[in-house]
This record gives sequence, structure tokens and C-alpha cells, in this order.
Amino acid sequence: MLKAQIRPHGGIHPDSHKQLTSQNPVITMQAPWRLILPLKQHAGAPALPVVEVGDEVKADQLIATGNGRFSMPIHAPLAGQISAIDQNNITIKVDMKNPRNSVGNTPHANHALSRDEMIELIEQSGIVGMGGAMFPTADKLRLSQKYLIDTLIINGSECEPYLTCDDRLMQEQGDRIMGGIRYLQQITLADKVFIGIEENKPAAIAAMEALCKAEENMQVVGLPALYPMGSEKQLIEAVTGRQVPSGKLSADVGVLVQNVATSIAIFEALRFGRPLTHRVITISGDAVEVPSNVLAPIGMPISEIVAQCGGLKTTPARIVLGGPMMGRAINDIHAPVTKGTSGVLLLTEDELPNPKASACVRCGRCIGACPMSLTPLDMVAELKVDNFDKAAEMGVMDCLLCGSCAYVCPAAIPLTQYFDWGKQEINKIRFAEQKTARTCLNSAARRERMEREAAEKEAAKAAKAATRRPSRRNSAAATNSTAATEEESA
Amino acid sequence: MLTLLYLFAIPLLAACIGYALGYAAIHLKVEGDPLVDEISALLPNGQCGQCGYPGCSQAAKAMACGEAPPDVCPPGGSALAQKVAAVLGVTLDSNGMKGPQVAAIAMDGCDGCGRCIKQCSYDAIVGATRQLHGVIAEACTGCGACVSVCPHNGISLYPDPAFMSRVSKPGAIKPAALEVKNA
Amino acid sequence: MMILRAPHAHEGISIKKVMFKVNIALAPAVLLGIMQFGMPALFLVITTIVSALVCEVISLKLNPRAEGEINDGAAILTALILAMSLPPHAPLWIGALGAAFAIFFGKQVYGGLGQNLFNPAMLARVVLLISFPVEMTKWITPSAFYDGVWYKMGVDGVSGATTLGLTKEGAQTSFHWLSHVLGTNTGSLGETSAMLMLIGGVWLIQQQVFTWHVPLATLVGCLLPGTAMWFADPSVVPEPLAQLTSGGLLMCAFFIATDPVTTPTSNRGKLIFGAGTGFLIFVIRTFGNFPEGVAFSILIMNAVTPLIDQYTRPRMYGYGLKTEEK
Repeated sequence: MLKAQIRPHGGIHPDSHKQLTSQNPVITMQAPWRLILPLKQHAGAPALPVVEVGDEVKADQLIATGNGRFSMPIHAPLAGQISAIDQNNITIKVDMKNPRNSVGNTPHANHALSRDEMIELIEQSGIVGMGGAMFPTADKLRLSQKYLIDTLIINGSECEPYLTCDDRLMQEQGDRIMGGIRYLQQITLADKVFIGIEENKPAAIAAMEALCKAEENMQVVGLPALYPMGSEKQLIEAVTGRQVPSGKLSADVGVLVQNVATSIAIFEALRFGRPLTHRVITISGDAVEVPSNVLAPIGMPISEIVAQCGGLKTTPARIVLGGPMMGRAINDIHAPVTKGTSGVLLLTEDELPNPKASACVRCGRCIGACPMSLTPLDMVAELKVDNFDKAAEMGVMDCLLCGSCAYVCPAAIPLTQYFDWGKQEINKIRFAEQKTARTCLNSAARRERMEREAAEKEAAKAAKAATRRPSRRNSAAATNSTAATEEESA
Repeated sequence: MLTLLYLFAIPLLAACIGYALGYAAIHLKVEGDPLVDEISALLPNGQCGQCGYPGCSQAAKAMACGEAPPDVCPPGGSALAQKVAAVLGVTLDSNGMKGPQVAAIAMDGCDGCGRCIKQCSYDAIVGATRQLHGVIAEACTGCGACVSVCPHNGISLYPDPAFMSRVSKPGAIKPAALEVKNA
Repeated sequence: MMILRAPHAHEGISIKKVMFKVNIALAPAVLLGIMQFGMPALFLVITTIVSALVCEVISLKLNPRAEGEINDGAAILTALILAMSLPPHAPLWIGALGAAFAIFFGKQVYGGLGQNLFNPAMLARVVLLISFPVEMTKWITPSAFYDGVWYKMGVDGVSGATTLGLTKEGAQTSFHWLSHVLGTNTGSLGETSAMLMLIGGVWLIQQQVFTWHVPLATLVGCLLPGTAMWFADPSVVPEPLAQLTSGGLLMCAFFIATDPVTTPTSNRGKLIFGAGTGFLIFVIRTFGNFPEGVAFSILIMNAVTPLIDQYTRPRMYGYGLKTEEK
């Protein structure tokens, strides 16, 4: 096992709460009676449904196609009937008698597909980054065709507290992860593969190391257990020692990163032709009776998962999708699991912080915690008075929104929310400036076109007048006028 | 002799300073109106004429002397209006500002007469004659010229979706209680 | 009010807890000082604290938008530090006036907690020193309280001179290191017990209230030139251990120079600040008109802090890299 080359700057060590689920093997969920599939499970525009209400669909059948850039197709995880389609979701009433009635998948032999074919198949399978960002994997892999990739990093860090799904995947499905890695090697033509795992997961490290022994150029890297070690930029810095320049992609430094769950999805798609329809999530928190790691179909309502995990111990004070640091709080327990949901936390009041809000005393803890080495206290001072230019200069657009600064702030200042809002406003300003420039060019072009058309019309009129056979009346008038002008000039 | 010097010291000093100021006022005078130049630099300078002035420099002059309000430029939108207001040191009347807007043509009303295409100075409307017309939101500045010419009142302005705010400034609005809903 | 946006976790520290810890760390030295200097000292400390709290309440009533609250412990800390730097038997109105000045003009006029540029306690001390030099330089020898001798109200203390003061005047004293360390030396309330100050300061570092950068840099910044000067000309400065344990240098290093509001935020900045403070203390002690230079050096370095902050910004991830052209 290799050690990290550089320990990333900053970072925090929250209570991990991973012991609630780290020893629990993955449980496969029974089919729920309905699935709610959001149309937007990726970075781009919502997908377009290709089915209608009342249609019977089989498992793995395409129900929505991608809609433009960074938009991915969606497949039915289980067989059933489309019961509702609105602008956000497709709801399937599951056929409980035969939910796994599949439309059929085409397996492919190893090395049978070309690089382009593999990327195309990954796109058609609707695979997106399953670590949470939901960036279309096919688009990310196409980068490897434009840039020279020498290093592939598989992200097994799982730095967020409570989450253990990737840990269990590495322990139980290591061979499928390796399958996915081999496909990724073929696509990216990377020389070296590193599997980054935090040192608080010794069983996962042992499992992956055993599998790596048989491979050349594949090694496990033990990473310091800090949050946010799983963030792509910090992972690249720790494993390779290189930093990704601001505004550039990881491919610019020759690195491509993929999550372990995404690797498994790639393996399933390329080897067995199965689209992305299920995923492993961690359901945890003190409000659920039996915290577990579960294999659930995409679109399964959280309430159904909770019911199969022993039900609720108490009413949760908050439901969080993802980890506690970057997860989104929701208020509907029937909300579905999506492709990017890595965990569902049902937290009680005791597990939630209630810090005392106060004023910034410039203690500087936020500077010590920031993994991007920014100065949150100065940035928030500028954002409070809407000084967006100065805030952008200080690097707010580089902020990961990881929440480390807000975690350590003794005054409980909502730093992450300020930076989220600041980035949004700066993007709006830049967009407005670009739009203004564009519309003015359009308006100038239109004016030019009008003038040109008017001039052409004049020229055509004049030309027509010149070539017309002169009539008598005209010629008389012409003679008179020429005579008049001759008199004048004389 | 010394008394005379004491008596005239201050008037002498005042006279010297006055002369220096007068010299500066004449020989170090700044040409042109820097305020108009500053405003002109902020404007898009596309000479589209939507403000009603023949060109952007005329609009800048009008804004500088207060003849035109800071939000007179449609492509600039509220971002530009705020910048100009800041330069002029005036407060912007937010009541009139509705934020960036774009036009949309109602499908059922449109008969394809094409009056809106002729009116739009940003080429943001597309459509063949006697066919349904549509507005390209990315090119539309929300100036509203098409709204008045449509004979069927089929065009309306709505907030530009590209400027929708997902996150609000902390402390601006009190967050609503997030009660968990159960079955 | 619960936070409804990410992150849904927090380390659990609050400003109130931090202030409380600092007050606790300072308490043993305060108590020892009160025992050594008797009732007049006790009443001085109480007056200063009460005056500070009253002024804080008035300020927050006048300006409800000011940052900070009455019970966040910051006013008490300012009052304690001010009281510790005053002569133990100073008249009570000195304490009250000083605390009022510290709160009104040192903190609230800037906008409250976290907004001030200068350390309020040091600002007040300097104003008092310049305005009332006689009352502010009447030093008392500590009573032998362990033998049952206590100072009572109205009893004139036995006046004595501080070690630094004596050195300034050219009179050489034999340096009793034990008395300096344990705190039976002549000086202000806070100058006397070096041991308690050190213990309190180190405990605060262990509790992660502040880092080691400022205290270490301050001590080194003062003692390095001090020791060199002592080797060069022992008549001008007292010996290094005396320098360390007198004049409130330890209180400055651990409690005054570590004030987060008025000192740089980055670690490099903190080192520069500490070194500058220490060096200025040495300079004022050796070459200046006053025997003690803590308050002045702190104020000077406070003025330079924004500049230090500007130039010690950390290098952001992804900036300033040697880019290879691909």
C-alpha cells in the first residue's frame, strides 16, 4: 500500500458515526409498490420521456432520453405500468408479481468493443458520477480522448460521516470494481491506476490490495482520514502530488477520477449490457431502527427503504440526502433515491448541531480548515456588502462548498451558504455581461443588414430604371431636363 | 520692519495659495466631462437605439445630467443600471426594476403576421411568414418593443429563467421551518 | 434556530465557550494578585468588571445593531486584562474610567465584537497612563499573605519599585528568580505571578483556543535581542529570566497578543505579529522613556495588522503553479 504524497491543506475531523453501518453487509431491498424517477438526475437539462401514462414497461427499458448537453437517459429499474408523468418525475406502479421482468440485455465479450463504442454504451446506459455530483460519465471519459491521461484514480475515500456504502462495496464487490477499472484502462489508456482509500477502512484496503496484487500498475494508496479527502482536487493532490490549476480540469494534469460505484456500473454496462438502475446507499442516523447499507432500485421512496430497515425509531428531526457535510435537507420522507444519492440520514435532534450564532472575531479557524487555502472570513466580509469583484479576486469561485469552514466557525456564521449565494450571483453577473455583449452584436449586425438591404433595393431600383425601355413621356421629360441642365451649366 | 512682516504674513500666504489655485483651474483643467466618459465606458456601445437616444454616448450624456434615469438601457438590464447609479451617486428606484425579463409568444394567439420580427432590433424572434413565431430567450433583452406591436396581444414578458436565484443571501429572509412530513 | 442548509454538522465550539476558557485561564493569576494586594485590589477588579459590563449594556441599547452580546464574556475579559495591568492599589475611579474607555472607544464605537482595530484594554491603559501618570505608577510591594499579613481598605501599601523600573534608573538589584516566578514581586496585579500565567497560557494552547505561534514569537522576539543586549552590556537590561518574568511579558504573550480580533489571521502573519511585538517591547524597555512597553507595542502592531494580513494570505490551491504547456 502506498502512502499519500502530500497531505492536503486544512480539512476537518468530524465524528464519523460510521460504526453504525460499517459492519453491515449490503442488503438487497424488496421491490416497492411504486418508483418515482426524477427526470433530472444529471448535470444537464431534464430528460425527455419516451413513454406515456398507462404504458407497460419492463425492467431496464428506456423511459426517457437525454436532452442536449450533459443530459442522460433514464431506464426503468423494475417492470410495471407508468402511472404518472409530470414535469419533474415519471412514476411507475411496480408489477409486484414479476418486478424483475427484464426487456433483455446484450452482453459483450471482453475487448470486443472499441473505445468509442464503449463510451457510447456508457452513455446509453445512463451512467453518471455516483459519488454525488451526477456528472455524465461518458462526457468525462470523452475528455480522455482530447487530453493525454496517464493516471486513473479510483475514489474509494468516502470522507463524509455516516456513509459506508463504498466501504462495503470494496469489501464485497471488489472483483466487479476491478472489472470496471480494466474497462476504464482500455478507454483512457492510462499508464497507472491508483485506488485511493482512507486509512480508517482497513478491511477495504486489505480487500483491494489483494486484488491489485494480480495486476500490474495498479496500487492502493492509503489516504489520511480527513474530510474532504474524497474531493477530486484534494484526492489528485494527495495521490499524485499535482494540483489542478484554477479553472482547469483534472484532465489538464493528466488525471481522471472515478468513484468505485461508478466503476461497478461501467462494468455492468459494458460486460452485461445492463443500464444503471440500482445502487447501494447507506441509510443511517439515530431515527432509523436498523441502520444499514442497502441495494435499492433508483426511484425507490425513502419511506419504503426505512420500512424494510425496521422502520423509524422516532420522528426524524431532519432528513438529509447524502452526507451531513454537503447533503441536502429535505422535508418529504417519500422522496425517491436518485442515481447520485449515496446516503439517506434520518437524524434526531441530538445528532443535529445547534450552535450559538455570534459575530466574527477573526479567529482564523476557517483559514486553517479550508482545503483550497482560501480566506473565508475575508470573502464573507466582502460578500456581506455585495463586493462581488473583490470576492471573486479572493477566490470564491474556487470554493468547493465542502462546509469545512462553517463546521469550525465558533460564531456559527453560515459561510457555506454565503459562498453558494456569492458564486450564484457572480455567475449571474458574468452571464449578464456575456448576454449584453451578444445582444449588442446582434443589434449591430441587424442594423448593418437593414442598411445593406436598403442599399441593395436602391441599387436594384436604379438598375431597373436604367435598363427599362424609355417611354415617350419619359424621354421628353429627359430631353427637357437635360436641356435645362445644359442651360444652367452654360 | 518685523511688525510689518507679521501683519502681512497671512494675507501674503493667502494670496500665494489663491494664485496657485487659479493657475491650476486654468492650466490643469480636465478636458471633457469625466462623468460622461465613465458612464459611456459601462454601456454596451452597440448603438441599438432602444433607449430612445441615437447612440450610446448621447445616452451617457443624458444619464450624466439627469435627463435620463440610470435604467434607460434595456440590454444592460438591472446590473448596468446599478453600476450607473453607483457612478452617479443616486439611489435606484427599485419599484420600477423588475429584474431581467424575456418575452414569450403565446402559441394559440399567433397567426404568423410577422410584425414582431420587424420590430425586434436584436433578431431574437424567429418564424416563417404565417407560421408560429417564437422568441429565442438567450437573445432577448426584454425591452418590450414586440409586446406593443402584436395585434393579438400574444406576447408577454416573464422573469428570465437564467437569472433565477436558487440560493438567497443569508440573513435576508428568515428561513421557513423545515418540518418533516410523514405518511 | 437550527441551521437548515449544509453542513448539518458543527464542531460545537462557540465564542462564549472560548471567552469562558480564557477567563478561567486568567483566574488563578487574578486570585493570587488579589490575595497578595488585599482588599483594595479586589475592589479594583470588581469595579473594572462592573464598569465594563454597564458600559456594554449602555452601548448595546444605544446601537442594537452592534455585534456581540452582553453575556458572551468578551467584556469581562477586557476588564480583567485591564485590571491586571493597573497598579494594584489604584483608586477605584481609575478602573471604572479605564473600563468605560475600553468598551466605548476601544470596541463599541467600531461596531462591537470583532470590529475593533486596537486592543481595547491596551488602549485604555495607554490613555490612563498618559492622563494620570502619578496614579498609574504607584507600585506596591505584595503583602506576605501566607504569613497572615493582609492589605485592608484604606491602608497604604508599602510602595516599592518594579524590577524594570529599578533597572531604568540604573540601580542594580539582585535578582531573586524565585520571587519573580512565584509572584511575590513588586508590580501590577498581573505582573507578579509568571508561573500561573504560563500554566494558564499553555492550557489554552492545549484547549486549542489559540495556537503556539503568537506566544512563542512574542517571547522569542523580546528575549533574543534582550539576551544579546545583556551579554553586550549587562547594566542596561536585567538578566534574561528577569526580563521574561517581569513587566507583564508573559501576560502579553499569552493573553493580550493572542486577541483574535486585532491580530493577523494566518499563521505566518501571527509569527510576524508576535516577533514585532516582542521586539518593540524590548526596544521600548531598553531605549524608550518608559520602563514597560507592552501596551505601546501592542497598539503599534495592531495598526500594522491589516497590512500583515494583506501580505500573508495563503497561496490558494491551483494558483501560482508552474504550468507545463501541453
